[in-house]
Amino acid sequence: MREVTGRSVLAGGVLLLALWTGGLLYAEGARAERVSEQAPAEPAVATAATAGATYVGESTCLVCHEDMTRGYADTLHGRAALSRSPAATRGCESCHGPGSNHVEEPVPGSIALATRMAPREASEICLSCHTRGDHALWRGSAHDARNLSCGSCHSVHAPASSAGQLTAKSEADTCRSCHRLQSQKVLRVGHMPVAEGKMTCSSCHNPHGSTNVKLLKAGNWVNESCVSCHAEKRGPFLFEHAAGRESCVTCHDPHGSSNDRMLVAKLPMLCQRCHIGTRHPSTIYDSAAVRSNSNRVVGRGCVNCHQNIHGSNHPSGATFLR
Amino acid sequence: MRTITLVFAVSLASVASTSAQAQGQPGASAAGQPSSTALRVPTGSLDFGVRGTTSTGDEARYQRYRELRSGPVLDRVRWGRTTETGLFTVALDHVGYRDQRYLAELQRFDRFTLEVDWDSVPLFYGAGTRTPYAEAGAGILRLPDDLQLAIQGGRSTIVDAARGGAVFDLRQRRDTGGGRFSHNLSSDAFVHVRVTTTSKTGEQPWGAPFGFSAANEVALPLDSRTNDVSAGLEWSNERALLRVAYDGSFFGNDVQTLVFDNALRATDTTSGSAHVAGNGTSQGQMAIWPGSSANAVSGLASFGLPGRSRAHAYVSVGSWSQNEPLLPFTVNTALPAAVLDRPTADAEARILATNLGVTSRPANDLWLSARYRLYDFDNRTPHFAVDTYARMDQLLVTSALGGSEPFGYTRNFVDLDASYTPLPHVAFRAGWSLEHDDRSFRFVEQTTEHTLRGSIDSTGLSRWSVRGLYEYARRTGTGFDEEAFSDIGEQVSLRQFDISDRLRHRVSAIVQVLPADSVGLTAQVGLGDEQRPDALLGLQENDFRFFTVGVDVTPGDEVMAGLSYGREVYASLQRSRQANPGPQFDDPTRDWSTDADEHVDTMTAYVDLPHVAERTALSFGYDYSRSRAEYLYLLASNSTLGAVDQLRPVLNDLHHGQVEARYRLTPRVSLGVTYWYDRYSVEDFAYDGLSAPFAYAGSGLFLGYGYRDYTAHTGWVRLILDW
Repeated sequence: MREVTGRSVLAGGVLLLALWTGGLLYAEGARAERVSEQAPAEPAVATAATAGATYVGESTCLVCHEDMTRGYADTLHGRAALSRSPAATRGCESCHGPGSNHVEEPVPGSIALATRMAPREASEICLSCHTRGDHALWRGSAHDARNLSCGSCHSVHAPASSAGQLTAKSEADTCRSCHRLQSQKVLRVGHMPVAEGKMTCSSCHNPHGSTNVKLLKAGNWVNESCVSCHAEKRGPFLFEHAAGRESCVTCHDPHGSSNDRMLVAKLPMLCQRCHIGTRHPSTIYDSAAVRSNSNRVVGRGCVNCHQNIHGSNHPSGATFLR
Repeated sequence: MRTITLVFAVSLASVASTSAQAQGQPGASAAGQPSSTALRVPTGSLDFGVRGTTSTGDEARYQRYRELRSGPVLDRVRWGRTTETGLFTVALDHVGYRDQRYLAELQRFDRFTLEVDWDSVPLFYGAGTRTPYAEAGAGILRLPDDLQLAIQGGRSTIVDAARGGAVFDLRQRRDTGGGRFSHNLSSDAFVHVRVTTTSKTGEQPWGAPFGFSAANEVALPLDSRTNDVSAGLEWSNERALLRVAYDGSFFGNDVQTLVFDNALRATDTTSGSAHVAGNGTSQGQMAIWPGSSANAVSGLASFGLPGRSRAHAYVSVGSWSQNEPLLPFTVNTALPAAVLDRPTADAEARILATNLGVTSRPANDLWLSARYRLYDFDNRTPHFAVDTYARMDQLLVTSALGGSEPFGYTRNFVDLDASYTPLPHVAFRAGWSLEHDDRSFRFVEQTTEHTLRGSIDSTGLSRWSVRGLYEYARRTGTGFDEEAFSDIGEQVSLRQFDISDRLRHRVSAIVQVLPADSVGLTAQVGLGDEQRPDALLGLQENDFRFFTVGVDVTPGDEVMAGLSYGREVYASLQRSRQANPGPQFDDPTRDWSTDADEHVDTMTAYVDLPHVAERTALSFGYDYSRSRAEYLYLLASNSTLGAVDQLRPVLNDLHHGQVEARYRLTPRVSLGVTYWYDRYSVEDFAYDGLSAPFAYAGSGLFLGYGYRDYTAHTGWVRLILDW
């Protein structure tokens, strides 16, 4: 790959993005001038299967599909007082589209079925209502990019979970179906209280999209997510540990680790990846050092002394000893 | 330590998770948290009974984030009522215990939602830990003066101090209370306010050193509180969304200073060296977390465009600040008092974040996405000049850097992706990312990383899915500051691993197959390698590979079972040079490497028999995690270093098994019995010699907190009432 100056690439990327968006906006403006109708007041599911069809009403659907009310009538989807719910609009046809074609020819191809649609097409059905709050940034998110749909994790009619209408029994099970490595790390001796039921994956991540990296829910960078709970490490401090200020995951693996404090490597080896000078940072700490209980390797290793490693507010704290 | 207590009483219970992996106590919901916005119409349940726990070994490690004390338990209460116009729910977990959690929600559909919650998370560090220190005020840890005098006078030793220390349980607790109110202004707009307050109390292990050669671990008292406020207004319709929000966080700490006696000295002196703990000061003083605040205002706009396109723009402007009074350079009265450059920290960082993106589906089989992010951490903390400072309150030394360095950075990200879907459920994606970072006060001023990726994702098929991802990334840096290394006496050929030039390859794939309605098979494999070709010292290579295989079988409503196994391998190579100042510093025959290798095996298994007998459900679960890590020191063939006595491997073995049975006495009342078996075995050279209660090791005074084996049995007998 040819070396490209970062700034020029950035400038080019932003310019392209601006041009693209501007073009689309211009086109939208021109279209808006031509079409002055109001936005539809109800979910619109337009697929080839429902082309030309008209609405027949929920009672017609239930003649054959009464069992489908399970997982629908007893959820918020079935609450007519919620103006965005299917029950408040077209019932079954809110999501499955107008059903007259299906009434005339009752085969799966004559009605909109998310399970038979391409993932992004299927998601559009849900996104016609779930447009705001946590769902506002689904499009372009990491899961959208991997061709997942809402139905990859959720089930409207047959949810297995007690919350969130998930296809798996729990949120952890849902995420584990793909993120096996992370779910295995949660079982390590160094872990956050996920297995204990105090946190879930969504404590930190918003699987529907976010402004942060890695679908992190809080803030706009890794550290902002971490300090949303670990506020004491936020600072700014008089003396900063640059690696930690850049990113907490430089040193910690938040999903779990076999090392103390969920560190990505054991001490003193982790610190020795960066600190190579003279005397104690660059010394081999072998079994002889362990037998003599060297404070650089036993217990918490380097942090036995450099305790304020996240930052120090002490005028003598440049090396985080105070 | 061995505790056996069994108390019998009455109780409420729920069905335990089918998989042992969700080790939340029986009262925890399947998702691990009470459902705050229960989509399903809530029903009531009550789970109460008696718990008995017996354990040998490290009780604290077993109960690290939970409390499993023997006694009567009210583990779970769920009550709710739903009408056509709203709902009200209450959820209580582990009532009265250190890991209690309460939540209530009132919702009037399309009008408002009100939630209040309380959550306690314990953190149990060590049972039977020991310290000779006693708290003599907030953040003041004292030793008996006669003990200090006796040790200074040679009439006693620090070993005596350790033996005479008080035995206590080392634990902390985080309590979070909060409320959220959301009000619909119209069908398209709503406002929300969220307020939380989090207190952290108790103690945690803390290093309070006096000399290079001696550790001094104390129990740092904790007494802090964080108040968070967020509020927002959001409007959206089918085409567009607008959101403005404010987020504020205010951290206050009642223990911002730690003062701790020196066990080896009762009187202050100056020291010629900080290598000997017995020289120098009678006490030390350390700055603990300062109070700070963070404020941010943000706006998000998202709007639909033609061609099934959507764009969004997000901007956040914020600041982090703290201006706590600064401590003096030292509390050692024998050292001359130096004047502070300023009396308070005056620390502030301005943060600007933007996120612009467009996604488009110009054709049914084409998906495009472009995103730009900016994160600017502009550290405006003024330079704090330091000519000389007090090293560990022992002696004055000249500052290598002349004071503080307000480290800051600007990160720019561009992501471009295109996905082609030739078949409805199969997508091929190609993407390119750029991350360009500018930094102040680091050795590499700028880094640029290009990432190319390709993936195939077949999802949404009923019988199988295949997903694969390949990534190639190359990071290069410019503006390398050799002088900065020499200023602080570090090797110029070092490249810190988070900013060094790097080549990275990553591949992962997952296959999920349903050969029959009742059988699900999963296999996942991944590997990655990182190389740092320009780093002569520091991290050279960092590789991983893993695979998992799993099977889930559901032949009918009578049996559900699953088994999965995974193996992970992590390997890294890092290089250093053992040297004193002078000729050794440039002598490559003093180079050495650490070849680290960790193998992790993980297994989970479960069997659910919901109708094993009339009115009876039975479930089994088992989790196993085993890690073996080796750190092998390597010397060059012409090495002038002495022979190395290699470290012993680090082993961690965790087992968790559980059995749960439930017998339905009536359609609404069940009797439940749950049994957990937990075992942890560890060999860790860092902690093997520091076991309590004798917490003095040759290099210092330790609390006795660490990693030790445990075996634990916990059982519940419960009544479960559902309605």
